[in-house]
Amino acid sequence: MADIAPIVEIRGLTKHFRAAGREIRALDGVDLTLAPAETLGIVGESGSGKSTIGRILAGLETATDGTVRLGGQDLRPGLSAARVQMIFQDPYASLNPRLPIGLQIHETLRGNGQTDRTVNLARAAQLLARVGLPADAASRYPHEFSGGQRQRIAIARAISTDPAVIVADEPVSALDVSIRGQILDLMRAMKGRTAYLFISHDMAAVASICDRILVLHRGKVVEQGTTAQIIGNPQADYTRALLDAIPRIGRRRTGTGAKPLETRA
Amino acid sequence: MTKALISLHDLTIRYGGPDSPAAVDGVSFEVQPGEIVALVGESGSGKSSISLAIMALLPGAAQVGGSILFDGADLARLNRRQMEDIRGARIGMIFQEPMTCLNPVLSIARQMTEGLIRHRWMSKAEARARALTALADVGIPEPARVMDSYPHELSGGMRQRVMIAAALTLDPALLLADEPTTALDVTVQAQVLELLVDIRNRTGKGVLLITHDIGAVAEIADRVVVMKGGRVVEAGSWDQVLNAPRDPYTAALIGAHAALEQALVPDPMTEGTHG
Amino acid sequence: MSDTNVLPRRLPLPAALRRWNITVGALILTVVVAAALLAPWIAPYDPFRMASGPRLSPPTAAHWFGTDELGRDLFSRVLLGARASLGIGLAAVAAGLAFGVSFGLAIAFSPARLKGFFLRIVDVIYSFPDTLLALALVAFLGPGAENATLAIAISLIPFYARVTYGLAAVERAKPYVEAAEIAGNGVPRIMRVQVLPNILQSLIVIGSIGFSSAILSAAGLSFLGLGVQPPSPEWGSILASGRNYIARAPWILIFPGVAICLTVLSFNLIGDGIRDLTDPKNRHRRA
Repeated sequence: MADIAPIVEIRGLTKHFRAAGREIRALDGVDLTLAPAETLGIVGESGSGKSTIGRILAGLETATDGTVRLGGQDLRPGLSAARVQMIFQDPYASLNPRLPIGLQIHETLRGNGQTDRTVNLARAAQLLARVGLPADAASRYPHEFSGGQRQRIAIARAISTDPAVIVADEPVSALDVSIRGQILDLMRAMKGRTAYLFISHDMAAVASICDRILVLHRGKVVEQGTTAQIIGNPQADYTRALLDAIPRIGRRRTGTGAKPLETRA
Repeated sequence: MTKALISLHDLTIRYGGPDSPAAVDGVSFEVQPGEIVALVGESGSGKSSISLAIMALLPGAAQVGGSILFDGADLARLNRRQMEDIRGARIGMIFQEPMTCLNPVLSIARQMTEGLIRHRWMSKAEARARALTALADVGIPEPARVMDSYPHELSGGMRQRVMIAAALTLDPALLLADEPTTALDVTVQAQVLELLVDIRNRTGKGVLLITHDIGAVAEIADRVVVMKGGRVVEAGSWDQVLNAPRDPYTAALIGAHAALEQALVPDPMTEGTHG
Repeated sequence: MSDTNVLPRRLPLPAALRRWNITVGALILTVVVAAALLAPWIAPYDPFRMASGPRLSPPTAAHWFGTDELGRDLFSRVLLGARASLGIGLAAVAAGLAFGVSFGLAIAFSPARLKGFFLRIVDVIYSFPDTLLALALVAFLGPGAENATLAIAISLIPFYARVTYGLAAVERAKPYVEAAEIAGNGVPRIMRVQVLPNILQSLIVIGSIGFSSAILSAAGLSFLGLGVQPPSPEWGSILASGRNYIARAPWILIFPGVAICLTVLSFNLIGDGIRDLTDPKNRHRRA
């Protein structure tokens, strides 16, 4: 891996927010690299700062400190366009309710400089077919689709510009379990040359799709390694606690492990 | 066999006219004292409608058929006032998002003692003492401090514990937990599941756990009722339903979860040290 | 099923007409608009001709609304006055809406630091009652129908800008707009293609609310002699000319007054009706 130039290289990434007069350190010196076509999972609980990394990479937020290099260039406004796409958690809010699906993909391609509407609509129809949607999907509106279908549309939209990186922020968390697997399979199948930054609190989903996993806790990297290493031989107590907490078939809770919680808000 | 705490008979709920599709279609099951029954299903299964029906919180336009027998009364037929006496006092409720149930401008103390003063005719001091005990019972380390805080000052897991404690103060016979872990971080989810089992073990209350999470069901439920499209597709002991499902949908649901869980099984060949 | 979507793509007309407030509002408005459009043909007398009948005549079979102090037929003048009132209202709302919505969108998409600055400016101007603001502007611009229209339009801008900002800021934070930003679409295009269609329905409601306020302002300015100039009829100026005869000839005030009331009422009813119709909280929910 070391001899391939990384597509994303993040050093000392720091992000501070001010909320209610208090300064919150969402990210506190995060380093990570993402190789081309690699799938890196970022796992953490609420407040870990995991979403902020993806949003900075996608250009939706700016870092307080640190460097983000995308394809060897320092991140600056406009650089992320078309090279980074995003898949969001809520499939109901991530599509424009008043725009037919085909035109939403047209808009995405248009942002990438492909302005020919006829060509774009043909491409949209092709992409929608590839993600397993009916032929007339392009002319329909988001409310005519289920949550899982909408997430398929979001995937089609994300891959439409053939981006270098797709930031997938909790892409299956809002879906029923029976749909989750299908969407993960689809993401795997649609991957191609694209690298994924797969952000989730769900260790099982992350482990099932990622090559490497980075565990984040309160803005700091706790541990990172290959999926096999993190799952099979976690080093940090926090990683072990995360793994242990996942509900499993075949384990019974006795009610004796109800330990006191930390009180912090 | 003991008398059931709550029993649903042929419960049917429609939101449109008599010809509209039923959101809940002829559902029957019961919860015994000291038993954790899981009502499991995906979105659109009708499990949320059942939860609302038990709490008499269905919208006015909803048509309810069948019965929900609790404590000798049919909850489907009670008026609003009668239901208010049962809700909270006899059936404790735990919801997905504690923030929507806790009033943001009232202190925890105020919210936890109000029911005791109203339903149990306690004095303020008695109510406060009872609330403190309840907070300690759910594993809150500094109950007095938490009593005097406001909801936004607490973490999500803490708020969920406060809500469980609040549900317990009135010593209800049945706990209705509607997606109690869905909005929580995994490490906190595990704590809340442990807590529910612990409460059942100590108090012998019945728990109706309504959830989409088959993993949570597998870990704590005694009996499982699986719903799909408004109907019960399978019901039985946890052991039978999870290890030998009879219905293909149940099997698919478990399979989908198991497939994801499979990713967490370490592969002995690739284990190694790393930094 | 159509009721599973968040908002209907366009207002279903039959459903709209089942709302009593929209029906009544539309009915009144139709009458007022028809009167304004057809005034030259249906007016029984020349609204400018003096001594069409006796001076200060009460309503009779010949003069339905009576006559004014110069013997002009009041019915004809109120009909023609509808043109001026509605015309000023329409022009002012169109201009105010165009600028207000543009400013509101621009503020919603401006950088955080500038946003606060712009909003404070809008808030300061918005804190003046719009009729008072229009009055101050006409005093500065000079009286006349055109200046009154301009003043009313300007006085509406802060209201429209504030409301548009609020609506657009909510949409802007949604992932579908973020997705468009990530894709590299320019801000004007995101405003037009993503945000505007999603706030349009609310803008129609506030447009209609602004309409009633504009008509009131127009009448108020004309009443004070700052709007439509005599002898041209406008509801406000008819009221002004009749105020000296309030005891002897109250009809000069009653009929234009009722016309103003009904028109304002019709816009408010329609606005409320559309709001009821589009408010997701008012629709029946499915579990």
